[in-house]
Amino acid sequence: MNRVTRASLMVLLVALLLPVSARAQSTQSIGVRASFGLDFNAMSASDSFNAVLGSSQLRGFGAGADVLNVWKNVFARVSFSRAKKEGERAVVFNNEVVRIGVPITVTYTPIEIGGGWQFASIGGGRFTPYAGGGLFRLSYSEKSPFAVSGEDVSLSKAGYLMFGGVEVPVAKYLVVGGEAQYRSVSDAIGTDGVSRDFAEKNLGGFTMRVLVGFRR
Amino acid sequence: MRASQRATLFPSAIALAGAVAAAFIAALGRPVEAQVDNPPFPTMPIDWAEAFIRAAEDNLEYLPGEVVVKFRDGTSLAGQQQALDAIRSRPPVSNLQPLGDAFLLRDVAEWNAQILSAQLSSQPEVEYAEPNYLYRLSFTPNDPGFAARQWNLTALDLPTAWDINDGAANVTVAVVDSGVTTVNQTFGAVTWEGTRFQTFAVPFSVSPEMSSSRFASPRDFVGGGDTTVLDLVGHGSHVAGTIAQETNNNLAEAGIAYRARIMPLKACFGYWELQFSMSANGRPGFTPQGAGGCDSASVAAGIRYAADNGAQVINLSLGGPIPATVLRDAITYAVGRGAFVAIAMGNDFEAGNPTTYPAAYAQSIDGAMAVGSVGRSLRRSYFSNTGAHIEIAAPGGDIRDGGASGVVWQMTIFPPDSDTRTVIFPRFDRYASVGNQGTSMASPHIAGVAALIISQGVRNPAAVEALIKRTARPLGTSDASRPGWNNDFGYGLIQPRPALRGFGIAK
Repeated sequence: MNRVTRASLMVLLVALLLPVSARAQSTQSIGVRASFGLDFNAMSASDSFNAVLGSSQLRGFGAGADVLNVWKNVFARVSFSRAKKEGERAVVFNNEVVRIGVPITVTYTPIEIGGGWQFASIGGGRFTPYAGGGLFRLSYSEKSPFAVSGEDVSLSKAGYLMFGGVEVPVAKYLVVGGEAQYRSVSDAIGTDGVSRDFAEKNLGGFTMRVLVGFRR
Repeated sequence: MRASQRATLFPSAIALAGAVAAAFIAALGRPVEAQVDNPPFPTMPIDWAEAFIRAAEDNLEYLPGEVVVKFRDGTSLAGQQQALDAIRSRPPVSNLQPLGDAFLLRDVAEWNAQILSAQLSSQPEVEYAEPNYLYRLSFTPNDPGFAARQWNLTALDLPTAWDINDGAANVTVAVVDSGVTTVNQTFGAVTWEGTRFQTFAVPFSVSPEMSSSRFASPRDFVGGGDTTVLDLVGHGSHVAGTIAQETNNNLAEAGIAYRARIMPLKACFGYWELQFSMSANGRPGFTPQGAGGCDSASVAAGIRYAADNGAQVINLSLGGPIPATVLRDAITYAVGRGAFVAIAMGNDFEAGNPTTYPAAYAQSIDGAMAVGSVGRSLRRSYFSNTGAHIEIAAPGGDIRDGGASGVVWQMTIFPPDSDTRTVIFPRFDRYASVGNQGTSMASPHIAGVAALIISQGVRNPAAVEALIKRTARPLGTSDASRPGWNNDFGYGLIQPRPALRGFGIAK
């Protein structure tokens, strides 16, 4: 279990324990939070992404909707995001990376379905923490110029995610928030490409998401 | 510079001149009197020529009286002299000709180089001593024909590879071979015409498919280290054509790395060099058919010169059955200097399939690859040696697999102009498309693709080798003990496009 996974599990564990001590908001009616998000993805396959894209981080945009108080403080979520970054194809030899000038565009599009628990507000009611988990379907592609049939990559793999965050209301219906996610898509890569050189198999990673949404 | 060991170029060359052949035949056999102002043909030293002829007459695998000797590190001049004193003639240290970290010694008093090398090897100051072995050209004549020519480049899907890299600009490929003619010039040569010596004009031309502006640091290691290189055999021109023949010029064939520079290094020679040398020195008669080859000391000198003068790829379409430490050391040196080396596996599968050198050294040198041959159907060419040291396969032609359309066609000197069986007054200024087969033809495919890969920025020879292996297309059944590899094809058929594309994250 790597450092990112351990950190994510800690976040989730703390989040799940909070309801015990927090005051449950059992009388809330069903609500909706729709949001737009800016994702900062730190990829588990950091060496591979760094070799090809010059960075192990992907920045993406997304949107989603949470149905709140489905049962007590349980909420359900559907969301998606899309990250896109350009780099150069590479050759790795003895951990030395040679980028060979052939452009490559990587797109990373997870569609998430999940749920979680919204905790009692803290900080004088200004901060509402929440935590949860779910599954997602990742669409991942690599495209390069002059590709012939079978050369580009387009794969779709399922994974799971855990998340925890906090929501802050800034106006009557307007909220902002921050969320940490851990995603795992095991054995998605690693049989070819530079990921084989680095023995990296997971297309997940740790994501920081900044949210702006409407809630009612 | 010269070397001591006998090496053989590996082109089972099939002199299949194309349709153009007929037009040229009418001009054969007419001597052209030498112009007064024609410079003399740069002949090789007579004693050396005689050594080659004696080697041919006695069917020796080495040059008589020549050994390559390497002293242990730190051996003083006095120590070297002490070792040399073990030889009957007690040659002075000053007779040693530097050859990288070794020396070439010629001893006229003892022509048996095996005795010489044994005497020297027993001395404590000597790390190794070995005869100057010869590697011979091995042509396999064939029926003439004309067919669809470059199946070999199509088989490697090179047109799509050129989408990624158009010809390896700024990469220099050394061709250690029989030379690639670098001048348009006529020389005055002397030859024996049957009853008397006759001086006549021997014209040379640069191939119309190889612009002279693309030559880099040519060197003749046979004729005394001159920068003028002349191909009197045709093998070097053919090999260079596969690597870098002019392309997209509406003429003849294409080359793989058609914008690369070629470094012609002449370390091999044939009948005509010997004949001119003998005649110029008053030796009547004709040189034995098949005389010539490549001595290991000249080849080693060429390899080291290439590495020291900026070659990033070296092609060795030559070899022989006897190991030559001087070659192993030269290849190791070149790889250490950043040059990738492609080496032909050999054409003797049906002659006992002996292990050949320097190909056998490649397995232990990351950055050097031993190259086997496939024919048009991508089956192993009938002649292509196999063995534990084979690493990669490339098209080398196979006359039994497609006839004349199954060999490798490139432009080289027009064979009938210098056919040693029928011509007395040769010329080397006309070119034609010629079909050859051999691992000599397969190796330059690897050299050309390596040049393209290097042009993409992968400059470490070991990385080039690893990339070629990884992207190869497996052929045949994988060996149980070495996944992805087998005895016939190594890691399989080279695949230029995947190698040039490199890798994304997932693929």
